[in-house]
Amino acid sequence: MTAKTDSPKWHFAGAIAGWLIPGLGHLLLGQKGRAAILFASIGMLWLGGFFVGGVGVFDRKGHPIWFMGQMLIAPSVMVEVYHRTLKSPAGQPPRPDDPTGTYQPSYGHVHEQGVLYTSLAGMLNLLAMMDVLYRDPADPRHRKRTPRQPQPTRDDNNTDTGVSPEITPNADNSSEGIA
Amino acid sequence: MTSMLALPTTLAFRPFLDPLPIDGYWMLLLIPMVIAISVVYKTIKTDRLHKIPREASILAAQIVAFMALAAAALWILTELV
Repeated sequence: MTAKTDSPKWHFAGAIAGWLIPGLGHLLLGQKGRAAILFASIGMLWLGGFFVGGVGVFDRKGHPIWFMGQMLIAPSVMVEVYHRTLKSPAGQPPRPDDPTGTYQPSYGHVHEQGVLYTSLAGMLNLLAMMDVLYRDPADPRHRKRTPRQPQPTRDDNNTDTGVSPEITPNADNSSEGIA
Repeated sequence: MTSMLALPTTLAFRPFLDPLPIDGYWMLLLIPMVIAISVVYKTIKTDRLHKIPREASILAAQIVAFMALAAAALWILTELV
């Protein structure tokens, strides 16, 4: 390998894609399996928090520190903007006992769990974005596998060299530096 | 009359607009959260994807065990000491 291929690579577009949709950055780098797992796990966590606490868990003014975690997934920002449109012109949420309210604000443990789930999903997405952003080709996690090469049979090696071949358990781990 | 007709629809649960009434079971939500943390962390850290289920399960069990230990220690500290 040359020094050029060994140098770490920065993937800003992939990191931004990962912010828009969890796992999309890994998908753009060709890691489909990792992308699918990240999309499913982070997406379910975020969606779970949204479902448990309702739209009221995305409140930039109500809990700005938690919202910093939530905004690490782009859809949180869109939901927060939508949440603001549901409030009264004075910026107040509907009363909890009002059945005709645009939404029902959450309180107590349900609100805490919704905020915790969505913020945690954002922070986990930050980990995924950082994993996409900086790629070291020397790191085995960041290598792309090549198609499996036909393995020489034991008889072929013995007849050619007279030396018994080394059979490693991870013989299919041949990999190539990515990007 | 209009408001009476509208009442059943407005009282119905509206997903993502209304919170789930699960105040009594909030502690159970710890389990999916721990599983998600473990899976995401191991997905990023593990070099081979087939290792993820086993390693994520171990990590999730460790997190739950240490949280239980911490809760027990705090309970002893507050109730018995």
